[in-house]
Amino acid sequence: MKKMILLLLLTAVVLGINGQGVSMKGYVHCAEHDHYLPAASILLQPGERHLQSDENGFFALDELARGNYLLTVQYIGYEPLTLSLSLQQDTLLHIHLHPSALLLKEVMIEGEQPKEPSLAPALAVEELGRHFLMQEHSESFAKTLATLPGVASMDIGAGFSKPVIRGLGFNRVAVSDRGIVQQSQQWGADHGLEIDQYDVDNVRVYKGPMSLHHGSDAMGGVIEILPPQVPQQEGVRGDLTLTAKSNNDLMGVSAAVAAKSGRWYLRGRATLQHYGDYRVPADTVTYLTRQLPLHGRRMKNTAGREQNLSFSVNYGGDSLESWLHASYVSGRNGFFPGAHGIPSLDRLLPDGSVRNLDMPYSSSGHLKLISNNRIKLKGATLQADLGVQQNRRAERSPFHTHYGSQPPPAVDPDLELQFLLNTYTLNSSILWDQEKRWRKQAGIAAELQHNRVGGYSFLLPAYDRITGGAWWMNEFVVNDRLTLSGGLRYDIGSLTVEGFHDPLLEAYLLSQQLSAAEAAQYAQRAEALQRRFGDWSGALGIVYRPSERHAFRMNVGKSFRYPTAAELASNGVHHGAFRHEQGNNTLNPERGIQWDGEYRYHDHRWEVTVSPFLSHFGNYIFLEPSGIWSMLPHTGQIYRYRQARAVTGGGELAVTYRLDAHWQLGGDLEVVRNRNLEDGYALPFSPPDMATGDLSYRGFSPGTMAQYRLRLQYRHVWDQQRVAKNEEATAGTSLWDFSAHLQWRIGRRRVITDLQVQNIFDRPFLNHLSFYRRLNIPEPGRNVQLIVRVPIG
Amino acid sequence: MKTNHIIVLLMLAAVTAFSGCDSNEIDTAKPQILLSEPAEEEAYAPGSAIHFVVTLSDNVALASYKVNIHGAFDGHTHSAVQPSLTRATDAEPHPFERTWMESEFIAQGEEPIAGKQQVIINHRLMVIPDSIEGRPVKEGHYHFTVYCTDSSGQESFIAREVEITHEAGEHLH
Repeated sequence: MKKMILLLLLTAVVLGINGQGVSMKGYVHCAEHDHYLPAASILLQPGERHLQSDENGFFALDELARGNYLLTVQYIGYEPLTLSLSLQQDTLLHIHLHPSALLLKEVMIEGEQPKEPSLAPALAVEELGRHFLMQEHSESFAKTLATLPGVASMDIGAGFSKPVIRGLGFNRVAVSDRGIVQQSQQWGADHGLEIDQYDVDNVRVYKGPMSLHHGSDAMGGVIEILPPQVPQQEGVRGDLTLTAKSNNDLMGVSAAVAAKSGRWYLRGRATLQHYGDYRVPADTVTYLTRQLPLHGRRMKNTAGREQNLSFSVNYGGDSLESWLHASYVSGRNGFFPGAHGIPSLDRLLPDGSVRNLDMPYSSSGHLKLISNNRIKLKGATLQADLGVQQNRRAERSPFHTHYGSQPPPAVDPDLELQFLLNTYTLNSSILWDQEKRWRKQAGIAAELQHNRVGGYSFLLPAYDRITGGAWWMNEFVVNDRLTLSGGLRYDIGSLTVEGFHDPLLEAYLLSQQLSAAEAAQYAQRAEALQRRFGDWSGALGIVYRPSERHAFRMNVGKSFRYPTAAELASNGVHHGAFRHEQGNNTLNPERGIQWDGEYRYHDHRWEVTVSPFLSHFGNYIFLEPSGIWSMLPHTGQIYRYRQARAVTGGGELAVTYRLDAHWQLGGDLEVVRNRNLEDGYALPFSPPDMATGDLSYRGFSPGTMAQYRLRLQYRHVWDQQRVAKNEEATAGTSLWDFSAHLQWRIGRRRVITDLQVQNIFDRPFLNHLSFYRRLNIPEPGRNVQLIVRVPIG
Repeated sequence: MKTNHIIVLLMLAAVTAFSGCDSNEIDTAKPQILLSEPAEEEAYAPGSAIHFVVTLSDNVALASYKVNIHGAFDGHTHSAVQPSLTRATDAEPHPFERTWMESEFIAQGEEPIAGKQQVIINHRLMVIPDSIEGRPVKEGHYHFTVYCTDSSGQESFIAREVEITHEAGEHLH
């Protein structure tokens, strides 16, 4: 029996006799499924020669002395195989490994996502698994994704960030969690992405226009979080993940339990994180020409805590598959008091604890219910995704006022700002002829948003938004090398913004001798308005794989984005951004025509990806300084939203070279150029050019340390001199990082540890995209981070 | 591999297309502010006029300026005073805060700076009041800030500490 499980097929082929040594080549193949096993560990004794199979499952050893050998082949999730060989001539082996019952439990956690039936765009896409997300784990989900070429993060301190793809961020990138677009990013620059990164198993990052698939907001790309994979085997399993970070003394724990029985699968995860003020490699920051001290090189009051819960149920029937996901992501993050209004030296003095959280701080809670349903009909698949989400956000700061006459509120006097957004989403589609050469998919989408505000300060107006769209997509498989795709979509939307008149501000301005007309104009903090929008989007794509080694993709898409309530109707000081921002109620939907190309080459040593892009926006929406002074206290000039023709272009180049079975060299380069075609300036928040290079060493062993990978990485960020009007240029930097991924065999258990040392030399650097860039606050300094993952059950 | 080269060329073309455009004249230089008066820690008595001497310049053209004075009593903040806790009595001093827009100075006869490359402004049009709403002006440290924009919306500012005190002597500038 055991022999049946272990060894399967062994074919020796005589390749000819060599005078010197002999060679041994072979393929490692799965015995149960039709695929080769890449990166299988191969050990030949005597001689202790270790090597690894390539992505085709192939391995080769040359110049071997004739004689008797012992060959051990290992692969995670498979029973190890040991063979005794008598090598007398060049030999080719076919080795079949059997999946192991024990280690399949790990495959449940690390496995690849199932292929869901939908038509994929012909866009550059990166697929990331849990493994990658843990190895590259950073302060936030968006920052973890920023390790990909072409992706950057817009950070708000150490806890919050939002993703930027090829220079497009804010509402120009949609994050779709299990089919439902995640909300709250659109509130503004200082609102991060509320995602528990421990709860993400598989994610796809599309770089390019995706309005055809997601409607408004997906111009720059989409980050698609996929549902977890349901294991084949029944039983109860789980995992425990412990995280520690030195930079902000973070301690985190995340635990998951999953059970499968019959057609049902249940999974729950809880995550807790607690962290202190983060450290920066600087003693002072310069703001308003004043040097502000950073006592102990820490950003005071940037401590925070996070509690997340998620629960998923799956029913997998023959014709119906359903998921129900419920999640609650909540957090509390302190604001650096020097970055909230005019800085005060008193408020920057140490308060005796680096873990406490004082005002000002923000608290957020994001509740989400998602239902995914798939019905298989004869020759067609019907899909319906329903989502309900509630975003709560409150910013608390001791009651203060810019206008002497404002009384503190009777209830909750320290609540400065509050937002409450409810979103209801429905996406439904039908896919037919999916086994045929011409595949078709059609769908409808609808979304309802209801936003309400509170607090003694005012920033964003209350609004209601209803949007809906219908689309049709095609995929035509010309032959096994060439696939064409395309589609069209039309969306309509209606936005109603509630007006807000601030009588206290009006009284203050009148006391400052402003005319009644001027005072009334400033006091109208949001203008009531109702707008209707409609726009089409479309895409044409081609995927061509002339041979196994080469792959080309090209996509031309037309995308759009509706203006937000803030862009249309806001008027007043944005405390986070330190300026008076004024909406423009004449804005039209932003439109872009975007071209993307990608070429991938791979062989057993090289992997090269080149992905250029070029986009033209007919009316890019951005904030521009008007040159007109605001009469509001503690502000500079008024920034107004406007639209202009703009182009962006650039691309990414990524190269990997395997020196041998152990050593690997990698590098990537990302470049974004953009320009406002009307005045020649760059667009705000343009990512600087960046290059990375890394050297890694990996191996396998039959001992306690089953598998390891060590990596040294160098990152170079160029100066960013191409700036928008009144935007600061940012100096470049060079950073070194180290990481060690180790898998330990402890008893019958495999424990995974991921160690990272980020910014080894503690170099101070400014992130051009950071929210704190305007305050000259450097990014977090050196950080040593350890993640330990223990599978249970 | 030929197509490979084409893609690389396209990418390079996309990048150089933009770098090439940089020859267009765009102004990224901020206006310069050289504040001669008031000097750092200069003291003024309530009721007196501030002697304001500033040189504003820009590589292309200036647009506008403004001046703000606000209290710095609690170490540079505008947050701590809770009106409910500090219910003012008649005798209690009132912190002074005021922004002067360029338009006010123009109304009083000053030349607008818009369109000029360099301007020296020298006037005594800013007066610190004796009292506000019947209460004396609070003495202490204040921040005196000058903001200036140029024709393309670039902004600079300079901040200086001044003192408002009855002990200030006559200004002989």
